[in-house]
Amino acid sequence: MRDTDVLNQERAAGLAGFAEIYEAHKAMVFNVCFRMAGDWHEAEDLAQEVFVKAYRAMDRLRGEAKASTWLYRIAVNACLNHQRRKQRVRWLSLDFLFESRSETEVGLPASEQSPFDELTQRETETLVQDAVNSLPLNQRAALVLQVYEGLSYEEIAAVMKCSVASVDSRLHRAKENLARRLVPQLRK
Amino acid sequence: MKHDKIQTKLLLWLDGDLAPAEGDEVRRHIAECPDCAARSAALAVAWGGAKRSPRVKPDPGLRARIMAEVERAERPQSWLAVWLAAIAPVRFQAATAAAVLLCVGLGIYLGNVPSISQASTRPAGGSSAIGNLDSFRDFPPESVGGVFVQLSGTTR
Repeated sequence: MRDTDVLNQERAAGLAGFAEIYEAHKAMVFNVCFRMAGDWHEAEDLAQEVFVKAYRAMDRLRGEAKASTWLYRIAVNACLNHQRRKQRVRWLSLDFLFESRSETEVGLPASEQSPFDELTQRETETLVQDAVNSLPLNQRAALVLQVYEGLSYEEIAAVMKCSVASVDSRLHRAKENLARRLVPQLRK
Repeated sequence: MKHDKIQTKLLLWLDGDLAPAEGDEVRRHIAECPDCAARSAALAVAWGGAKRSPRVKPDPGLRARIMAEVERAERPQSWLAVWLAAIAPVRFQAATAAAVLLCVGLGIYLGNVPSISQASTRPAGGSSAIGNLDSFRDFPPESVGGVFVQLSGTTR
């Protein structure tokens, strides 16, 4: 049986290493979770799930070329699974028959614009986020990674474990669907 | 191209994702159609704002929650907690399978209980007008079966 002190040291080193990974990538993971879920509290729960999964699989990280690609993948899969579970619950509870579209409050930090401009900007951001929330899951994931995280097609393909052609197709359809939804709602 | 088809392509056009011929068609239409031109301008502002929006950052409390859960995971767990965590992804399927097995087991058990299995067997010498009433002979008179026998007039 290994010495307790050695085990505790290894454990502390593991936790310290994990804390560094958390600090380096918390904004990235939370941003993906928020843009996918469209809800602050859900994003917090998802981000927690992502980092706990990452901690449990840290040994696998040592073999990965980039921690960010690995974390993106865990985050996107967690968000997709969460949305699929929500859809199943919604269907089973028949809530979809009584739902009305609700706006997503986008919790961005205050800017230095005038209150009127800030309100207009927030309204627009909320419109865009609501439109993103309405996209099919794979299209939403590809769009979030490209638009909000700035990933290239190749990077998105690595995260979503699909071909670059699939990424191109998903983004194409996502932007058509977004335009179809946004254009009638935007003021001239 | 009709207006609605043009408007569907606007975001792709703004991002430069259209093929050259299609992009030219959209540009020509916008030059000629004030309505589509205005909508394109509004979309450019909204979409540009979305692309420039900074990353949404978590509350500081999230770190504490995550570290607490990770440290909890480090502590030794009971075999039950480990088993429950292991089946968590398939708990619905596991519960369904358990319910099916329980029903099958209960059916087999009830089928093998002597008094019930005899009650379900027809007598060899033909049947009375009220089916297998002879099988109620084992029921005491004061029981439900016994009362039924008496009411039906079947002699014991």
